[in-house]
Amino acid sequence: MKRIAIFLLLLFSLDSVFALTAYEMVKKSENLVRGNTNQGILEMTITTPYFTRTLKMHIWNKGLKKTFVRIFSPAKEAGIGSLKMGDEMWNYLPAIEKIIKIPPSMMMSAWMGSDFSNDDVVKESSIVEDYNHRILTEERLSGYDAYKIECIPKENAPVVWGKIYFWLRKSDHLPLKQEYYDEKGKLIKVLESIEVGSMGGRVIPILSEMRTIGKENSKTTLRVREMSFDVSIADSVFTLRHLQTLRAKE
Amino acid sequence: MKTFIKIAWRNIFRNWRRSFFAILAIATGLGALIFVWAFVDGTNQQEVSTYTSFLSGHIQIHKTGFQRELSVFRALDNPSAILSEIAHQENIEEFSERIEQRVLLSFADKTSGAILMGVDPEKESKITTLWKMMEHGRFLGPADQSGIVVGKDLAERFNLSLGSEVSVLAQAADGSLGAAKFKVIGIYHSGIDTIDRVYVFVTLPAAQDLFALWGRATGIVIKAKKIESVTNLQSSLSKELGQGIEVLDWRKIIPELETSVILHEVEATIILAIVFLIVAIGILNTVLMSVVERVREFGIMMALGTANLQITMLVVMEAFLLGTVGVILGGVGGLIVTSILGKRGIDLTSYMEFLQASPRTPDIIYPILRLDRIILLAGLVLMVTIFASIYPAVKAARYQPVVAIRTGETV
Amino acid sequence: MLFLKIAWKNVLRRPTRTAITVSAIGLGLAFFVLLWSLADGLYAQLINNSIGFQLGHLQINATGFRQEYNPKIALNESDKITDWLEKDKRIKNYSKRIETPAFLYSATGSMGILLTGINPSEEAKVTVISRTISAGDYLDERDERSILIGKYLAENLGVDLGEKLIVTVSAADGTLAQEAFRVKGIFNTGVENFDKSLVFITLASAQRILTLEKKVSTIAVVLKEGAKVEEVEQDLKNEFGNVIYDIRSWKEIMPIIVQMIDLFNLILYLVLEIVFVVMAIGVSNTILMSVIERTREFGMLMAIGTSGSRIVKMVIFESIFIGIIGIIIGNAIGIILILAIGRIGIDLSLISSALRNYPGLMRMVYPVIVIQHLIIPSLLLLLVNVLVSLYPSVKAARLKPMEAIRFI
Repeated sequence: MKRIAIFLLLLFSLDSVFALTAYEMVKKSENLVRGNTNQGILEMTITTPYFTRTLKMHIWNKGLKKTFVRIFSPAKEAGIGSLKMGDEMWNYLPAIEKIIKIPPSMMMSAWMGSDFSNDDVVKESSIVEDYNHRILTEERLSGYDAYKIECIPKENAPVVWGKIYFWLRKSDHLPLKQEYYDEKGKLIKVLESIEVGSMGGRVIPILSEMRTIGKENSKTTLRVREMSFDVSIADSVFTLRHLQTLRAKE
Repeated sequence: MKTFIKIAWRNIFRNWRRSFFAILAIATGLGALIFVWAFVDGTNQQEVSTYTSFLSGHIQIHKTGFQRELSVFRALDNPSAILSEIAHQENIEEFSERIEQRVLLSFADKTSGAILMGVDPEKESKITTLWKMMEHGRFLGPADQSGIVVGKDLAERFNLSLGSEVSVLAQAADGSLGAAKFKVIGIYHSGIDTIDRVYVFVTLPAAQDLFALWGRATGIVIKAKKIESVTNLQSSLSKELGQGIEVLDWRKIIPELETSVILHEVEATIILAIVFLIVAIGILNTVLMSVVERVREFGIMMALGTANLQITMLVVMEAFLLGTVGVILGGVGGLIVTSILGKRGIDLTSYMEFLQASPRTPDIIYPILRLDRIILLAGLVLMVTIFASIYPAVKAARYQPVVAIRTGETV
Repeated sequence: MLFLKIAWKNVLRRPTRTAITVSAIGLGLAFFVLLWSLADGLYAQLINNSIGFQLGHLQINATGFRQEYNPKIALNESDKITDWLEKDKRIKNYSKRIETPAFLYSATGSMGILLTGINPSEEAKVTVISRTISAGDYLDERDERSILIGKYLAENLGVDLGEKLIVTVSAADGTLAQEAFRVKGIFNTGVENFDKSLVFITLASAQRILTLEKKVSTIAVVLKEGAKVEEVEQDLKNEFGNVIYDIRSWKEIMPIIVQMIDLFNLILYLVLEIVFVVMAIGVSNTILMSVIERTREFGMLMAIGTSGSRIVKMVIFESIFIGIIGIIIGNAIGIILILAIGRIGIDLSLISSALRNYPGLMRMVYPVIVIQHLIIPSLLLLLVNVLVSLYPSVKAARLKPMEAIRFI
C-alpha cells in the first residue's frame, strides 16, 4: 500500500517537474520554427482589393537577432535585400543602388506592401522575450489538440499590442495561430498556420496567413518552398556589404 | 406735401454753405464706407488668389477619398476622359493633371518623408506660380525626366545642392516598391515653410513610371477665370462628374487659408461697424449743428403760426433731401473711385517699407466693388441722416417761439 | 496770454455749438480708440498664445539645430546659459527642453509628431500646456514613461488615458530607439495644430531614449512685463556669440504672426485717414461758421489795431481748445468703453464659428490699451483741427477792416 502511495506521489510530482511553463512552450515553439539557424526559400503572396503579387525570396536567419532576405522574383523587385540586426533594419534597392536604413517613420509601414510591418519583421522574436505568458485553456484547433496561451506585454516592452493569444500544438508546440489585440481588447491582426508539413527534417507550418481585420479582403500568405535548419551560416552574410553585393546564385 | 418739399428745397438752397457741409459729410462718409469695405474685400481676395496660386490652384479633382490619405490606390483611372468631359466649362481658365503622393526621400544617410508632385511643366506654369520662385537652378521642363525640384527648407534639411542625386521611394499602384533616382535641377523658395519643407516636383511621366500609374493621374488641378466664380464652378463640376469623384475647392484643400479669410472678414465687420459709427457721428454733428443754428428761424416761423409738427416734418424732410443728394453723390463718387482703384490697384509697396513684406501679403490690392453692399450702405447712411434730424427737430419744435427767438441768438 | 483767454471765452460763447462739435470729436475719437484697442487685444492674444503654447519670447539652440531638429546638435554648455539667465533681471522664467521629430504608434495608427522633453515645473512657468490638461494629469519630474498628448492626437491614434504608445526616434548616436510610454494626460489647447503635433515627456525620459546624457536642445525664455525682446536677444548674442548658439525671438520663428499684425495695422492706418477726413469735415463746418459770423467782430478788432496774424492765432487757438476738450472727452469715453468691454470680452465665434484652426487664436478678444495708440490719434486730431481752421481764419484776417464791419 505504502509503495503504491509513494509511487503515485512521485508520478504526480514528476508530472509537475516535467510539465513546461507557458514561457518555455512559447520559446520551444519559436525554436521549432527557427532553429539556431535556418536558410531557405519563401514565397509571399500579397492580396489586396487593388492587386495580388507574389514575391519569392531567399532567407537566412541566425539566432534571433539576424535576418537576411534577398528577393529574386518578380523581376521588378529582384535584387532587393533586407537586413535585420537587432532592432535595426536596412533595405537595399538595386533600382537606385542604395541602402536605406529604415527610419522611425517607416517602422509601422508594410514590409514590401504586405500585412507584415517592418516592425513585425524586426520584432519576430519579441513574442518570447517581451511578454509574460500563461496557459489559458486547452482547445481543439484545426483538428489538433492545442494550448491557448495568453501573452501580456511586459511593462516597458516597446510593443503596441495589448495582448496576444497564441495557440500551439500540444504535441510538439507547433504554432497554430496568433491573435493580436490592442489595449482595448479589439482584434487587429491574425496569423494562422494553414498547412503543416515536413521541411528540412522538421514539421513546421509551411503555409501561413496574416490577415489585418478591417482591411477589406487583404491578406498575406507565406509559403515555405525550401528550408534547412542549423546549417552553419557565416556572419559575413549579415553585413551591409553583403546587402549591397548581389551574388550570382541569388 | 408738395409745398413742404418746395419749402424744404428752398431752405436747403438758401443756406448753401450749411447744406454743402451736410452733403459733404454724408457723401464723404458713405464714400469712405464703400471704400473701406471694398478695400478689405480686395485684401481678402488677393490673399486667396495669391495663396492658391502657389500650389493648390482653385479647384482639385480626385477620386473620392483621395484627399484624406493620398493613397496611390485611389488614383484616377481615366483622367483624360474627365478632362474632355469638363473642357466645355466656361469658368475654367486652365487645367492640368498631377500625381501627388507621399514618398521617402533619401540622400547620403538621411531618409525622410516628403510629398512628390508629378506635373506637366507647361500646363502647370499657367496655373501655379512656384516655378517663378526659383532661388537656384530652374524649374522642370518637359524633357527633364530625371530632374527634381525641391524647396529651400527641404534642401537645407537634407543638405542638397544643384546636381545632388536623391533617391525616391514610394508605394506603387501595383503594390510593388517604386524606387528611382533624381538629380536636383532647381531649388525654390516660396516663403511658406509648409510648402518649402515638404513638396518636391518631377515631371508627370517620371511620376507615372515611379508609381506604375501609366496613363493615369491622382488629380486634376484647375485655375478658374475669376475667383468669385470658384464656388459655382465647384458645384457644377461636382454635379457633372458624379459620385465617385470628389471636386474640392481651395477651402477644403487649404483650410488654414479659409480660417484666415474668415478672420479677416470678422476684422472687417468690426472695422466697418466702428467706421460706420464714426461716420454717423460726423453726420449727426453736421445735421445737429444746422438745426441748432436755426432755432431762431424756427422760433419766428412758429410765431408766425407754423405748427410744431410742421417744423419737425420740415426739418426731417430737409434731412431726407440732403441725405438723398449726399448719398447719391457719395455712392456715385465711391463707386467711381473704387472702380478706378479696382482696376489700377492700390500699390502698398510704399507702406510696405515700414511693414515687412511677406509672401502672403499682396503688394497690390484691388478693391472689390459689390453693388449690393453699396446699396446697403447707402440705405443705412440715409437712415442715419434722417434719424439724426428727428431728435433736434422735435426739440426745436418744442421751444416757445419767443424763447426760441431769443435763444437762437446765443446758441 | 490775453488772447488765449479771449480765445477760450470765444469757445464758451456758443455753448451748444461747442458742445455738439466737441462731442462729435470726442465720440469719433472714442470709437477709433476702441477699435485700435480691440486690434491690439487681438494681436496680444495671438502673440501670447504663440508664446504661451510653445515659443516663449526667445529660444536658444545650438547652431544648425533648427534646420532639421537633429538631436545630435544639442546645447553643450547649457549651464553657462542658465546661469546668465538666472542673474538677468529681465528674465521672468526659462525652461530647458529637448525637441526632436518622432513617430508615435498605437495598435491602430501612427503619427509623426514633435517629441518634446520638458522639465515639468520649469515648463509650467513658461508655457500654458500645464493649464490645458483636459483629462488625466500633467507630468511629474519622476515620470519615466509617461506621455502627454493632445486631444486630436488621442482620437487619431485611438488611445485613451493609461494606454500605451510606442515612441520611435533616431537617437543621437544614429540608432533607432523605441520605447513604450503610457498616456498620463490629454491636453486640449483648442488650437488643432498644437494638439496634433506636440507630445510631452519628461526631460529625463527624452535624454534616455535619445542617449543625450545631460544635454538639452532648446532653452525657451519668457521675459518680464516691459522687457524688450530685441534688447535681451542682443545681449545674449553679445555674451555668447552667434557662432555656436542660435538665438531667436518669437518674431523670427513665427513671422506669420508679425505679418498678420502688420497687415491689419495697415488697414487701421487707412481707416484712421478716413476717420480724420470725416472728422475734419464736421469740425470745419463749425469753425467756418463761427468765423463767418464774427466777421464784423473781427473787422472791429482789426480796426482798433489787432493785427491780422493775431486774429489768425486766436481762431487757431479756439480750434485747439475745442480739439483738446474733444480729445479729453474722447479718451475718457474710449477708456471707459475699453474697460467695460474688457470685462466681458467680445466673442468672435458669434461672428464666425470657423475660427478653430487659426494658430494662436482663441474665441474671446479683450481690448488692450496701448498708450501710443491713444496719443497718435489724439495728436492727429488736434492737427486736423488746426489745419481746418487755417483757411477761414486767414481769409478773415485778410479782409479790410471797413469791409469786414459792413459785412452782414
